[in-house]
Amino acid sequence: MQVAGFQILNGLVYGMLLFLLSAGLSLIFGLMRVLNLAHGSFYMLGAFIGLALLGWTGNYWLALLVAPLLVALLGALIEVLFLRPLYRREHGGHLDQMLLTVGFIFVFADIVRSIWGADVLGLPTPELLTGAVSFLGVFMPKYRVFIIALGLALGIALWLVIEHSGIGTKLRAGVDDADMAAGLGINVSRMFTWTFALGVGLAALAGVAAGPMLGVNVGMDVEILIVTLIVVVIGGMGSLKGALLASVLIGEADTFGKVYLPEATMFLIYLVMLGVLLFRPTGLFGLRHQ
Amino acid sequence: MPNHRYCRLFWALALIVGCGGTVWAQGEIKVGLLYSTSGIYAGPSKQGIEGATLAFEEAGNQIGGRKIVLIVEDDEAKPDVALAKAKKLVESDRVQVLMGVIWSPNAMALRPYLHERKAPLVLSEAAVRPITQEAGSPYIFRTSFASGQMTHPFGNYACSKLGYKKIVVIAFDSVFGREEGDFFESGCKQAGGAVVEKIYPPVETADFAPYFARIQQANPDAVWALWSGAAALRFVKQYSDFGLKQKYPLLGFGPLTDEFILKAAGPAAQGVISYYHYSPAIDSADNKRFVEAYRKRFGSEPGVFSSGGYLAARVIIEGAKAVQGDFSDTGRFLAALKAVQFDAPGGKFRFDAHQNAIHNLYIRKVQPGPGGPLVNMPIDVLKDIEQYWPKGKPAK
Repeated sequence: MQVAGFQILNGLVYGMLLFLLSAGLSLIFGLMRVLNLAHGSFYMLGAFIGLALLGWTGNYWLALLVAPLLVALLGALIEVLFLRPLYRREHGGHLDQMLLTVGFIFVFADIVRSIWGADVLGLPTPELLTGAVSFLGVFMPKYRVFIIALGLALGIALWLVIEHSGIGTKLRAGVDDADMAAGLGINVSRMFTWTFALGVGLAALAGVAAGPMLGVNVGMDVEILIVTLIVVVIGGMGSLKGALLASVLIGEADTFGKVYLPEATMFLIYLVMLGVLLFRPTGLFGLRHQ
Repeated sequence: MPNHRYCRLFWALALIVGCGGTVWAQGEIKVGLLYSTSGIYAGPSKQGIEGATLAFEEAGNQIGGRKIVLIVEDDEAKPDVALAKAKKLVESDRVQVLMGVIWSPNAMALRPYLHERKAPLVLSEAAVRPITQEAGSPYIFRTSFASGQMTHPFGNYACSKLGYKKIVVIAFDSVFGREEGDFFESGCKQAGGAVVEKIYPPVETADFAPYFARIQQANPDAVWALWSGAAALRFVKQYSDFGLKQKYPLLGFGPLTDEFILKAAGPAAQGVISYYHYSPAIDSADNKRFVEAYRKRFGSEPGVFSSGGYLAARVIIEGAKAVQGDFSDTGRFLAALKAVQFDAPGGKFRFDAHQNAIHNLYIRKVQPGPGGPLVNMPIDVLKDIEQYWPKGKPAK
């Protein structure tokens, strides 16, 4: 029983990290129909910029706040300068967008490697969260409990914004039908920029948050990208609810798989994806119309 | 026309420089460095190349008046890429000797080609066992070690001298990881201990927490771990975060507590016991000279891979010196390599009859060094460890 409780919490920690990443990726795709394959790179950039800010100011919380903002700004610039010219192309320029974002994976990896080198670096755990708590016999580092809380808090905040605010209403309108939304006077173009910035900002936040647990290194970008893509496919493109549910599902499946079915862990994630897609081809909460 | 004259003069000059260049190029000694400079072995590869660079610079970048030129290629830790890059180095760059190779499957992929082509390779890392045993080749030398060479004696040491009787093995899932796990177990069994559980997570594991539950269920005396690069940092840090380090002492293979990991993990690594044929904290004149020179040149602490690259390069240098930089007779060069002996940072270096290095095995404990930061302090040393252990006999 203690082992099960321990694993449920571990699965939640992993799930929350995946949620921060997949929520952004899913929103970007849902609204803009842009599959941002460089999403993992923004996660990595967030971690490295967070590390630099931490070294500079010595304050983890500042790094956790400012690094995502800087990356969001970078994301906005990239959307305006590089992605925007592609929307008008044939078929929405999907192939061109993919190639562009794949290109950014290499560009960012090389930039990071030239600045910080290829070694794996450690992001120190903030002093407030070192140590562990014991709850009902389950032992858990404080920092991991914080990750769960952070993920849930951001999930609620995102839900409130998207479901219960003016901006959110416009965003959902854009997701449903961008042309119609534009016809109703919504500045869809600006909405795209905001969404892209928000999405990659969330990825960067996940990067800073993951740093103290997983370390910071070139290669963390591609590692996380594949699982994130699987989560988005399972949850359904463009659905926040789907991203949350699928993240937790994959987090738990992966964690429990490692203990009870160690030989089949990698396979298990794909099995979950296969199962979901067989019965719901657009994912758990994916849009029905395309 | 003055213009034409200048033109002719220019061409004449170019021809002279060009020809001169070619003559000079034939005088160069070209060494191909095959490392995985991208991917999870990027950090270790950088260290290896730095170690080799230092050795060649110490030799004045020349042997017998011939200039040494290093050509680095990235094998991406993929066997097919390694083979293609080795062919490029041998056939198009015409290197006299190759060195490097971290990823074991790459070493195996290169073996038939190098053997056929009669191209010498000094393996600086890959530990794949057969390549200096049943699949040996006169063209392949190894300055690192065969799998089991260090882990089998250490398994015995852990279950006798260190006194642990129940041990959990956690190593990355690869031929090397599993083989080392078996070697540890057989060494431990010899000393009357037992491995109660073996866990083999994937090489690129990010989060070890799920596996910690299995360690807790097994409730061992100690845990033996085999990880390197980014995964090693994660493992050491998470193992400490979850409070396991206090309950189950952590033992591990050298790269687990490599110098860059000590720097990144900090107190999480303190107290970990590891073993390797090297540590920058070895108290010897040869080592101090090496560490000082490395620090001065690269501004960082040399790790196990730095010393690996340095060793392989030194072997090439000593071998080339013995033939006065003349590679025209490959047989002579190979014989010179076989006979190479010198005082390395980790102690006296030499090959066994199968062209695999004989090492001192240092048992090291992570603790604050004289200067303050954590170091791998040697607490014991097992002398003259060969690939077949106990001496002369196959380990299995």
